[in-house]
This record gives sequence, structure tokens and C-alpha cells, in this order.
Amino acid sequence: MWIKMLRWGLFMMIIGMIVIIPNACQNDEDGDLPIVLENLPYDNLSDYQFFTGDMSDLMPADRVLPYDLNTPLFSDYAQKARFIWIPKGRTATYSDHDAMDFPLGTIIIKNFYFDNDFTNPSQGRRILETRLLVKQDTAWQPISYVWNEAQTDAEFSLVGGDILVDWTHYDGTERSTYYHIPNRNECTGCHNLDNVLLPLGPKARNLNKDYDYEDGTMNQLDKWVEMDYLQNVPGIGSRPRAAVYDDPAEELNFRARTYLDVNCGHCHNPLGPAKNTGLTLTIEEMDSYTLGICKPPIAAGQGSGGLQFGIVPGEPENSIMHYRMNSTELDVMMPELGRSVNHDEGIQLIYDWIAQLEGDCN
Amino acid sequence: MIKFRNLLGLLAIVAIAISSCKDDTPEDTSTTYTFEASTATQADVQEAMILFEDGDKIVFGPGTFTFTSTLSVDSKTNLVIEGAGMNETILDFTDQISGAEGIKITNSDMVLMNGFTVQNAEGDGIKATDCEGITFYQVGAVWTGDVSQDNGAYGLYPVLCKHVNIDDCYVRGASDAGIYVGQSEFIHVKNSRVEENVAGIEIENSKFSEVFNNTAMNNTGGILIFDLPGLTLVNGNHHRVYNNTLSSNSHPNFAPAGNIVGSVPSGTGIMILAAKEVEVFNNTITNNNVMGIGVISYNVVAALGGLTWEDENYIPYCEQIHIHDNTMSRTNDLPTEQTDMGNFLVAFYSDGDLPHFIYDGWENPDLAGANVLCIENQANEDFVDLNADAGFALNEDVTPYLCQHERLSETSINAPTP
Repeated sequence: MWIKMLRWGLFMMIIGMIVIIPNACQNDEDGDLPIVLENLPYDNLSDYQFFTGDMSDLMPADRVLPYDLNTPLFSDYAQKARFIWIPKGRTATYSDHDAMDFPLGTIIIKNFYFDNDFTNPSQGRRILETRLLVKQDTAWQPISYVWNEAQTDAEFSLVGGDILVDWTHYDGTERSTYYHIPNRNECTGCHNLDNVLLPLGPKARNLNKDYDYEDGTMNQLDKWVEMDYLQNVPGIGSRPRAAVYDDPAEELNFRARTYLDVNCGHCHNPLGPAKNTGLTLTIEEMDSYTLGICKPPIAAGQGSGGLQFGIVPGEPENSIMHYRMNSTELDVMMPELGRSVNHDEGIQLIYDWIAQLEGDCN
Repeated sequence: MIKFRNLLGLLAIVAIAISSCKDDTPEDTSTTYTFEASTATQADVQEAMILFEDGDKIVFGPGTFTFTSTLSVDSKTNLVIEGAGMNETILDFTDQISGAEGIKITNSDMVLMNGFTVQNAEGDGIKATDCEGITFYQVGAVWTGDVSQDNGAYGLYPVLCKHVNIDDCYVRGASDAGIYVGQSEFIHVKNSRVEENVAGIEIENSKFSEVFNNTAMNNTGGILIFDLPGLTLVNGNHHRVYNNTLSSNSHPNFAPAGNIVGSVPSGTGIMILAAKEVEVFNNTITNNNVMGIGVISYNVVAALGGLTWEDENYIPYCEQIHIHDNTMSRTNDLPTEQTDMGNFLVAFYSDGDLPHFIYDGWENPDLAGANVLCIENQANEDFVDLNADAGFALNEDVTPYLCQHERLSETSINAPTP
């Protein structure tokens, strides 16, 4: 097996010699990052030059734009620092519903880290991994980097792994878990619509919020337009918006449905990997049975927990949805990837939501 | 990855160019990734499964390999994973800490698995989704020790696949179905042995299957042909079930409650639930003492289980069920533990003398006669129509259902062979 890798390595070197050098000069002139798509994945995250100064500060280079989401996907309480870079001269096209239509060369950069003390971020942090989604040709490629202990750089990884992390939680308790860095194949376990790999986060509704940029606060979609990163964006009143799941000022149903959409809807989707279950949890699903209300499971195995229905209105304790969110057993828990601890706040939200649903299943 | 493919393409061009200078045979660029039990690591095997290119092979030597996470394969073609034999190469997941399957194969075509056993997976043994042309040949999925509802749900589990070939396999201890083919089309399940599972073999919401030459022993139910509401593929049809041996399927039902197989009575040989176009013939059905062959509508399961459904496309009735030339025998010994549905049936026959054929009689009002159920050339025609839609006024007269029916055509498949 190593022979093939050696051959690849040789060709990468040859192509690198031919392509990198002239391109690097060219890119210096127009002030953009010297990234050559054909040479990816680079061995180290630093090779992309996304960040300036100390790598671990994650200070973005010019045109590497930070962004945030109204409601993020839960990943074992890992915090995420997100950035996007689009090569100069190219622009994404706005989509009201799906991920934006990004141009060739777009790179979405997501850094996963744990503050040592969630109640006091000044106590430092540990960056675990950086995941890139790169628009190469017409397809997205997932590329993962695992950070070193010294936090000076991150190295390309195909196979990921499990890393023991510990932190002081919001409630002051000491927590730890084996954080799972997905392998290349596991990326498509979530980033998959009709067997095409796609970004999940950067959708209009989830980007539609203010962000505190270096030069002031601005709606993210407006900033993207200003940067020439995005075109055809409707006026601010005509953009969809996702709920902030943990903002009690927002309506409970909106928060719960947004939470399910973001954390479950990429699989539980008529075109997603969990389509075999007949359970759809996207924000636009309006059929109560398909949403799980009084729906018996199809292939839940242990996941049923002895319960009959996905959701029993008014009875969260008797709802499989709540049972599976509230478990860390491998063959019970949902989502089945990217989580080894319970998301207490999400579980409480779904509990409250089911508790106030009206009706019964008999 | 695109880059790798491009490079491989370049490599191929260069290789061909060089070799054509020397002789006319192109260089074989395929790779065999070989693993030995004493040295293989999770990362090495997983890396091979990622780097794998069309024409490559993954080969496990004999012995027990231990893994702690799901081994995953995505978007490959002409994939071969082979071991030294079903009893020689054991892939053990007893210490699994990540993933809900032993092996997970997604969106891949022409996949051949041959000669190994997946042991004690935390969830399903081998799950394959969105695959076209997938073969399990002499592949095992087992949970060791006393069977329990903590065992994984499915042993061999292709779902949303086309051209499925399960041949000479073995599954033991699954807490749902040993061999489960769901929402798939063009299926062979043959020459396999299933023991001590809740369902031995289950074909669910699928079309065009051949289930033959299998042995199902001491499961709760031997072979299930089910169709359930709320799925993209409903009203599955065209199933041939023949030359199978179903004996003493009277294991207590240990499925976690809430799963549909949790309702299957202990003592079931073949159960047909809301399926269409099923031909059951030349099977040997021995000592499945509660329901040798059951033909049941979803209405009854729903009524007994307190279920409702909303699916306007779904037909909850059995249609065009043809049962002929089976050899059936039974005793009046009843299983010690029983499900609600089993208890419900047994209550009608407290002496244990249940008929071989149990039909719930809840028929599609649009159909009649041979288009519903046809029993033909059975030496023993003990029968009951439960008349579930008419207050359970039992009727043991088989005459209305003795008829002839045209045979179903055979289904051929296009899946790899070893």
C-alpha cells in the first residue's frame, strides 16, 4: 500500500515544483492567499496561510472572513471558530434555502477547540482540529488537520482519531471525554444530500445575524456582499432567519424546530443518510407523522428504549426522540456521530417543546 | 479524493506510456492491502478503506482483529473485502467506543465481502446503504454469549440498495433481525443459516426478492416478509420464499419494545405482514408451534400495538399471497414466553392445537378470491381465518382459499460473485 502513496508523493512534489512557485509570486501581487487547488491537501494547516501571527491565536489573514451561526451543530461542547475564504474575483450566489452556491476554490474553515474553563475563557484553550471544505472542480472535498500539543500547527489526517479532552464546564464541574475526530468517510455521514457532499452551516437563515467585525458590527450577509463574497442577496426584510436555540426570548417551537433542523435535519431529510427511517426533521417539514409525532420507529433497535413513538405529545419521557438525545450509548444515541456527551441544553429544549405539544397517540 | 484520482490518472498515463515502449501488457496498478491480526491497527485498516481505489482489495489474514470504532467505506466501486474464512477471520468490536455499526458501507457499487465474521458490534454488524451490487458471501455476524436485548439490532443489514446478494452467511444473536434487507430491490438471500435472533431473515418494504435454501432455527420467527407505512418504498412486492428449512423457531422474543419485530409471536415459521405478491413454496416448516405460516394485515398489528399511521399511499393488507407445496408439521408444545400477539393467538387454542395457517382475514375491500390468498397442494391444510375485521369470529374452513394462482417469475440480480 505504501508504494502507491510514495508514487502520489512523488507526483505531488513534481506538480508542486511546477505550479507552486510561479503561483506564489502571482498571488503575492494581488494580495490573496497563495493556495493552489491541485496541490491540496497540504501537509500542514500553516501552508494555507489562513492565519497571521501565532497560529493558535487564529487571527485571520486579509480576506479570510470570520462568521458565526444563529444555531450551531452540537459537537461535544467543542467551540468553533469559523472562517471562509473565496479567491479574489469570484463570488457565491445567494440561496434562500440551501447552502449558498459557492464558486471554485472556496474554502470553509472550521476550528474546533475547548476553552480550559468555560466560565473563564482567559484561562486558555486547546485547539483540537481544523476541518476544511474545499470546492474543488464541482465537488466539495473534506480535508482535516489535527493540531499538535504545542498548538503551533496542525497536520493533515485521513483517519482522525479519539482525543481525551478535559475542561471546566459552565456549571463549574470538571468534565472530560474522548473527542472523536472523524475520518474522511465519516464526513459524508452528515455532509450528504442525495450522496453529494455539501456544507451544512452557511445557509442564509443561519448566517442572517450581526457579527462584531474588526471594523464594526454588521449583518453577516451584508458583510459578505461588501466583500464581494456573495451576490443576489435580497433586502434585509426578505431573508429567512433561523432561531437562536438558547435565546429564551424566541418562541419555543421556533427554537426547537431550528435545533432539530440544524442537529438532525441533514440526515433526517428525504435526501439524507437517514431517509430510510421515514423521519424528517428539517425546518420545513409540516407533516406531524413524518416529524415523528405518534410514529413508530422503523429500525431503531435499542434506540426505541421500549417506547412506542418518536414523539408522544405532552410526554417527553415517553418519546423516543428525547430518549435517544439523552443517551451516550453507541447504539441508542442520536445523533450517532460527533457526540459522546449529552447536550443538556438541547435535551431540555426538546423536553420543553414535547411537553407543550397537544394531542395523544391513541 | 479528486486530487488522488487525478494523480492516479496521470500515473496511469505515464505507466501505460512507459510499458507500451517495452511490451503490450499494461501495468497492473491495483493494490492489495493485506492485514495480519497481530499487527493491524484501526487506523491502518481505516486508511486502506479510504485510500482504496477501483480494483484494489482489502485482505484480512486469519485470527481475531480488534477494533474500537466503526470501519467505514464510502463512495467506492469494485470494492473487495475478504478474510481467510467465516470461522477463521474474526473482526471483533467488543471494545467499541465510537460508531453504531461494525462495518458501514455507503454509496458504493459492486461490493464483495467474502470470508469473515463481524463479532459483538455495538449496534448493527454490517450496514450498507445506497449501494448497487452488494454481496455478502460466507460472511458472519454474531453476538457471543447469552442472547440479550442489548445485542445489536441487525446482523447483515443492506438498506436502500439494489442487487443484493447474501449467500452462505451465518447470523446469531441479533436483537432485531439476523439478515435484514430493507427498502431494497433485486435481492437474493440464500444458503444461509440464522439462529437465536428475534427474526431470522426479514425482507421489509422491498421488491423482487428470492429467499431460498436457508435454515432458520430457534429464532423467535424464521422468515418475515413485512411492509410498513411511512417509508419512501411502500407496498413492496414480488417475493419468492422457497426450499427453506424453518425449525423450532420458538426463542423468546428479546427485541426491545417499540420495534415492530417485538410483536412477532414466539413460535413463528413464516410471517407475511401487509406484503404483496408473495409465493411461499417447498419449504419444510417444523415445530413452529404458534404460527407456522401467518398472513397478517398491518391493521391487526396496529390495533394490538396501539399504533396509528398516516400514509395515503400505503396499503395495510396482504395481497396475492400464494402458498403451495410446503411440508409442515408441529406439536402442541407452546413456547414458554410469549408476546402480546402470541398470547392473543394462543388464547383461542388453549390446548396448544393451533392450525398451521393463521390468516387474520382483514382484506383489502377492493380485492377478492385468489387475489388475496391462495393455498394450493398442501398435504396439511389446518387453517384459521381470524376474521379480525369481524369481531374475531374464527372460521377454520380453508375451502374459500383453496385455489390455483400463477407462479411469480424468478428474479435475477447483478452483484459480484467470489
